[in-house]
Amino acid sequence: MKIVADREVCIGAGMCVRTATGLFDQDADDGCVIVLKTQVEGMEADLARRAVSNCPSGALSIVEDTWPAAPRGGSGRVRRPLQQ
Amino acid sequence: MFRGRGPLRSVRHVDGTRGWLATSYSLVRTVLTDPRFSVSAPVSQGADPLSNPLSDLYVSTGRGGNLLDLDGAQHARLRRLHTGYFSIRRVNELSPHLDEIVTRCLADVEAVGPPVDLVGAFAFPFHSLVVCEVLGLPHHDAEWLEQRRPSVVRDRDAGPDEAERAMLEYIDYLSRAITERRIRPTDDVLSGLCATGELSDAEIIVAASEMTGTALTNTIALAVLALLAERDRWKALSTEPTRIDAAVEELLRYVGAFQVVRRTALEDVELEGEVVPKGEVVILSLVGANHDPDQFADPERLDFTRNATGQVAFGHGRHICVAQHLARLELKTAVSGLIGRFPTLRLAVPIDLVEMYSPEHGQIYGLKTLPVEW
Repeated sequence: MKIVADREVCIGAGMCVRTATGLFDQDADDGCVIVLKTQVEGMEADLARRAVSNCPSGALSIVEDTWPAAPRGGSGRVRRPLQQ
Repeated sequence: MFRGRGPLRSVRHVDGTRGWLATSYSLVRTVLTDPRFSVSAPVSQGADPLSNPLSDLYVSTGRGGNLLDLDGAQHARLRRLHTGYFSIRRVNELSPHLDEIVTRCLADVEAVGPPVDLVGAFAFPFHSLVVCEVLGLPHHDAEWLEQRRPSVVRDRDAGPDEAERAMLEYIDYLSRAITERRIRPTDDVLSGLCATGELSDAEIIVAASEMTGTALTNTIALAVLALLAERDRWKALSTEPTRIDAAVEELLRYVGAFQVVRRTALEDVELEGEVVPKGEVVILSLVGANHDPDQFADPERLDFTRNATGQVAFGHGRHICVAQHLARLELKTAVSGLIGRFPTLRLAVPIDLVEMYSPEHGQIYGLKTLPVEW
C-alpha cells in the first residue's frame, strides 16, 4: 500500500515521525511531513495506519494496492483507487 | 462519572447558558477535527472574562486573537511560523541543554534537603529555565520572569493591581528583548520569530507567554505523584531507564494536566444523534478521552508496556499543542533526572494530604505542593 501526504494540509505536528520514525521525517524549515518510504507492507503498513490515525490535521492517507481488498484495522482515512 | 450516560451530554455552563460535554475518545477527536467547530468562544462566554494588559495588547494588533483562538487560514499562517522551531529534531537538539538545567535544579533540591516541595523547588524553576533557554533569555532572569508569568499570576489569584503591574513588567521585559533581537539576532526562538518579518512585537509576546503556561509544571508534579503513589513504578524506571519514552507517553495519557478544551458550533451540527445548535459550546474532556476504555484497555491502570501514542493530552486537530515535543522532552528530562538523582524518593506526607488545585477557569489541574523526602 501507498502512503500519501498532503503538505498543504499538514500542520507540522510531527505525530507521524513519533508514531513511525522510519517512515516519516519533518521538513527542517516548517516541520511539515516528508514521507521517507511511500510503499509499505506488513509491520510497516500497520505502523503507517497508526500514523494516519494519529495525524491531527488529516494530512495523511493510505492508498491500498488492490481493490477491493479491505483495509485492516486503523481508523484513519483510507483512499482507494477508483480504477485499476 | 459521566461515561455511563453516553459520550455526549447536555449540560449547563457556569454562566447559565446551555452547552454540551463530550467524554469519549472518538467523539472528542471528531469535534477537534471538525471545521464546523471554532476555537473562538461565543461573545457571551469570553475566553478571558477579565481584561488584562496582555489581551488588550493583543486586541490592539487588530487580529482579534492569538494562536489559541484563531481558526482557518489565519491560524494556519501564524502556526506555520512557529512549527519549524518545535519539530522533533530541533527539540532533540535542545536535549543537552535541558540535561544541564535539570542537573542544576536537582543540585538545588539536594541543597535544600528533605523534606522538599517539588512543585515550588523543582517543577517551576526547571520549566522557567527551559523557557529562558528556548527563547534565548538569560537564565538569571528566570525567577524574576516566573513571578510575572501571566498564567502564574492568574493562578495565584493576585489582586487586580498586582496582576496588572506584573503583566506590564512582563510585557515590557519581553518588548525590550524583542527590540534587541531585531537589532542583533541570536540563535534562539525569539530571534527566529522576529526574523520571519511577519509577526508584530505583540504577537511574539503573546506566543512567548503561551509557552509559559502552567500545564507543563503541573504535569511534571502529577506525573511524579503517580510514580510515587506506587513506588514499584519508580523502582521499575530506575532499573530500566530505556522504558522512559513509553512511560512518558503513558504518564501524559494518565495525568495530562489539560482537563478540557472548548469548541463553539459555527452551525447546527449533528453529533451522536443530537443536534448541537449554532453558537453553543461543547466542552471536550481530554481526561475523559484519555481514560476511555474503548480506546485504552483498563484505562485507570498506569501501564508502561501500553502503546499510548494517540493520547490527546496535547489536544488533537489543527490546534494540537505546537510545543508538544518540547513538553515531552521536559517531562522525560525531569522524571529521569529525579529518578537518577533520588532513587529512594518518596512522599513526605500520606497521599491523601497531597493537595490538588484547579484554578477557577477549570481548564487545567495540578498540585499545590508535592512534599517529598529521600
